[in-house]
Order: sequence, then structure tokens, then C-alpha cells
Amino acid sequence: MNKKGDMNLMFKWIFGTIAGAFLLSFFVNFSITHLEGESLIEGNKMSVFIDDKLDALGLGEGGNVLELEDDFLVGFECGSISVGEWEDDNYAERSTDKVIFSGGRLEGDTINMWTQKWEFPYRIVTFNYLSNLRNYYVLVHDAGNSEDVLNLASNIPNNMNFQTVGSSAFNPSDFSGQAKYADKFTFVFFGSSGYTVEQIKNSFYGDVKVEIIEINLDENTGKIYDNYGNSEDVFYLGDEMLYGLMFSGTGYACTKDRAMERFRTITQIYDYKVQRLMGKANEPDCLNLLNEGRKMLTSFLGVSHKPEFYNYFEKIERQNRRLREKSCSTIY
Amino acid sequence: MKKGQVHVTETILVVFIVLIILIIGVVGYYRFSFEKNKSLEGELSERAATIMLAKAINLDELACGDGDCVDAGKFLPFRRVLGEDFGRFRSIFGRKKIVFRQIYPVLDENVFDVECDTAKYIQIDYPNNCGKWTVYEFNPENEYGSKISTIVSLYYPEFDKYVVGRLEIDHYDTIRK
Amino acid sequence: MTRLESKGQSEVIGLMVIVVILILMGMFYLGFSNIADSKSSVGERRGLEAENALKAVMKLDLEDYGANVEDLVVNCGNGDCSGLESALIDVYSVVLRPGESYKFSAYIDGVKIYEFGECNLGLVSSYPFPKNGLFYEVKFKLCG
Repeated sequence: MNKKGDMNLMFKWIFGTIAGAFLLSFFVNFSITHLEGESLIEGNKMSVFIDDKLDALGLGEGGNVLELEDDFLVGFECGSISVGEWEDDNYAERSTDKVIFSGGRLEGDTINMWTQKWEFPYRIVTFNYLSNLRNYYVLVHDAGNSEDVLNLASNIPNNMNFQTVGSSAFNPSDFSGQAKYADKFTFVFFGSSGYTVEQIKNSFYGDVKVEIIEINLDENTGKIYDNYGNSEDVFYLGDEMLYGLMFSGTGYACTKDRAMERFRTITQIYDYKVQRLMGKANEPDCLNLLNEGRKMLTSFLGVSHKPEFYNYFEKIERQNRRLREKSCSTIY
Repeated sequence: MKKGQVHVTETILVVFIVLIILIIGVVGYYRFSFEKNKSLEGELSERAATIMLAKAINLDELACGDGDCVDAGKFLPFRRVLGEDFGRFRSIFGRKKIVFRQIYPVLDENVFDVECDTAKYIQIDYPNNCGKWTVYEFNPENEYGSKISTIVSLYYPEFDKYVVGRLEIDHYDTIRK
Repeated sequence: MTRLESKGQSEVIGLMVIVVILILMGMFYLGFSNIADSKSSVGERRGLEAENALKAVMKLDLEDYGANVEDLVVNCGNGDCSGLESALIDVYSVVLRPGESYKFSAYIDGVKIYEFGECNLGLVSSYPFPKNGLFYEVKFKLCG
């Protein structure tokens, strides 16, 4: 009798253990799959959220601080917004049409934003400058350009974490305290820097990324030195693009190319618009001025060198003014 | 039947029924999840379309120089440029239809649905000979859409004239691009 | 039936009852969690509509009146509001959707000079403009 009872009990225990293990593994697997899916959705929702906020801010001009729900690693790599590390479950990447100048990847729970409309000479696109409290920007001016540099700096909202200093008073070790909390330090010299990336890094403790940008305000050119000391020569078109160079550093070239794509699209639209306006112009003066404007725009489309850009910029601005003075339809 | 056999039968029955209920629960949960994500897609699509309403008015490709109106002189040039680089604009606008109409001064009802194109533009009675500009359309699967709209200031550079218009966006319940 | 058999049956029934209760609780939870979180974009669009309804009309060239709405507001400040009122009726009867109502008010240097329409609750937009050394402001309330 007892043996029969024991067998019954043993069978129940074996059955219960096997069935229980099976059910437990099923539920654990189900939960993990669900959690992974939710993480992916969260990553995508965050990238959509940031893109939408940039849309809202881009309707005007100004500075803002974007508060994220939690610490995120957000990347702005030339035409895309990414959230998380690419090997993470919650990694999400979203392509965007926005022109974003940023120091690459921003980690934290806040993003500092500033927008400006780039005009050259007509409105082309909104530039978004993004940073955070772990990215520092130091503008170094010398005696000959301090007024110009301070003027430039006065337009930048305070939330963009920048500071200005005269070259005579500049000493990299003054910033070593701040460097302890920094991911990246960008030194923008208006003139020759007199320092290398290596020299500045040696003044800092820890592994802070350092970039140096040398700006020539007269030539509208710049030289970027990356964290390894490699250099790259660039140019900029207008103050808005100069700000972009300052806030993006090594990421500048690709973002500038995106801005230039928009420039060509807008210029093409104005070219076609002026062609149509010529068909509706009644006054011979207006027709002639529009025709000259159209030729300028067609040439503007084909320009690739910096001096030519500025040359046609002034010509088109002047032509538009003439059209307005003659009460003709204007280019823009 | 022996007691033990009855007992085992009962146990098996209970386990079987519990399994059935479990399967029903899991299937129900996955369906719920799927529906939730589908409605999230719809919600995001509507939000994207609402954002596009504000964006379209301020789009540098269409806005006036001062940004306070939409330049009707840019509609046909924009359509031409769109045709040359559709892929890029498709990634910006997605699956939508974007239409501008003049609503005041009121146009003749015969022209309300007449599309403005180059042929209409060069006629002497332009812009009173057509009622709408479809500046963008991408709906490859012929889905039914929801329409949202807002008032805009339309500017005719040919005549230096401002009128009141309406921007209509048909968005399709998907955020695929 | 022996006591032992009915005990087994009542155990099974008890288990079934618990499972059914759990399922019902789960269904209630799913039902309620589906209702919440439906953020509508309608409010945002109404705000945009109110702002654009004012901006677009203020820029409008009124050929029948030989002026734009800004000029009519200035005329109203000088004592003649009839043109402004008939223009508002003409324009907004077409521009707004059927059944939509509004309130239009004008101020000079903060002092109200004109009001048209009836509205208690609604979305307000404002359009300031300087003219002839005076600071004009127009407020438009889209009702509902």
C-alpha cells in the first residue's frame, strides 16, 4: 500500500517539476522578448521625440534646453539621429532632413539647442546647433579681432556652454578643472592658436577629447585639428555657418555638404521662379532686371569656390534691391 | 474505474484546460500588443501630419522671403525640382498629399478643383482659372487617408497680392517612408 | 459519491473559478490600459488655426475696400469702423469653417478701440503692428 502511495507522490513531483520548469521557461522567454520589443520602441520614440522638438524649435530662432526622461546617448551623425549604442537592444536610428551641427554624440539627460535661419542671401535652411553641459567651447580672440568675436559671441545663447577669453590671458591649464567633467573641449582661435592638441591635452587630466579650430575672419576660412592632431581646411558662408563650424568641429564637413544641397535646391527654385516671373512681366525694365537676375542665379548654382560664392551673394542682393526700387516682382 | 485512474484523469484534464487558457491568453495578449502598436502608428502619423502642417507653411522651399506667408510663385518651381529629386523629398514628407487652395477672395466654383499647372499659369486670367496646387503626393498603395488643414497667407509675386488660402494635408495611417 | 471523489471535484471547480477570475481581471486591465494615453493633436491644430486665421487676414489685400485690414483698423482708430466690420464679416464667413465663431478686438497703446463677435472660451492669437507712431494690437479669439 505504502509503495503505491509513494509512487503516486513521486510521479506527481516529477510531473510538477517538469511542467513547472517548462512553464517558467516559457514565461521568462516571453517576458524577455516583450521587454526587448519595448526597449526598441522606447529608443525609436526618443529619436522621434527629439526630431519633433527640433521641428518645433526650427519654426523660429532661439535657444532652448531639451529635457530627456533619462540619461540617453544621442548621436547626430550627418543626417541621422541615433539613440543608444548600436549594439544595445534599444538602439534606434532615424534619418532626418535637418541640418544639425553638433559635436557628434551627446550623453546625458539634457540637450542644449539653438537655431538660426541661414540666409545667403535668401533664406535657405534652418541650422540647428546642439550641445550639452559636457561639451565645452572656448572662443579665443586676439587684440585685432576682439570686437568682432565678442559681437559673434553676443548672439550665442548662454545655454550653449561657451566662454570667451583673450589670447594674452589664455592658458589651457585654467580649464583643467572643467575638463574633469567634460566629454569634449573645443578651442576656437580667431587667429593662429600657438598650441597643438597634444599640448592642450597634456594640461588636462583624464581622457578628454580636444579639438582646435583656427578661424580667419577676413578670409572666411577655418582649420580644424581633431583629437589626434590631424588637420582639415574648410571654409564657411556667413555667420550662421561659422557658428556651425564652431559647434561641430570635425563633423562640420558632412553637415556643410547637406546645407549646400539645400542651397542648390532653393537656388534652383528661385531660378525657375524668376523664369516664370519674366513671362508675366509687363515693364521692359522689370523684364531686363529679372533676366539679369536669372543669369546670376544660374551661375550661382554652378559655383564651387568660396570667393565666387561671396561675389554672387552680393550681386544677387544688389539685383533684388534694384527690382524692389523699380516696383518689379522681386527674386526673394 | 480505479480511484488513481480517476485522479490522474482529473489532473490531466485540469492541465489541459489550463494550457488552453494559457494559449488563449498569450494569443489575446499578442493581438492586443499588435493593435496597440498599430494605433501608436496611427497616432504618430497624425502627429507627424500636424507637425507637417506647421512645417509646410515655414518650408524654405515654399515660404515667402520674410517667412510670414507662402509664395505661390514657388509652387510650380518646387514641383519641377521635386520631380528631379523625388527620393529626397519622399524621405522628408513621407506618405502624404500636400495641397494649397485659395479660399478668399472666393474663386468661381467651376475652378475649385482645377489643378494649377504651367498651362494655366501662362493664361491671362491666372490665378482665377484654377483652384488648387498639389505640391506633393505619394500614396503608392492607394490607401485611404485622413485630411487635416490650416489657414495660410498666400502671396502672388506676379501681382504683389496677398490672399487667404488653405493648406490641406492628407496623411495615410502609416509612418513608413 | 464518496467524500473523497466530491473533494477532488470541488478542488477542480475551485481551480477553474480562480483561473476564470484571473482572466476577467486581465481583460479589465487590458481594456482600461487601451483607453488611456490617446493624446490628440486636435488642440495643437486649433492653436495653429487661430494664429494663422489672424495672420493671413491681416495681410490680406481687400480690393473691394481699397486697403488691407491693417489700414481698416487704423481707420477704425480714427472713428470709422464700418469698413472693418463689413470686411471681417465678408472674410471670416468664408475663411472659417461653417459653425465656427470668433471675437476680433483692436487696441491702440493697450486701450481697446473695437470689438466684434461673441466668445467666452477659445484660443487667442495676437498681431501687433506699429503705424503712424502708435502701437496697434489686434486679438483674435477662435471660439470653442
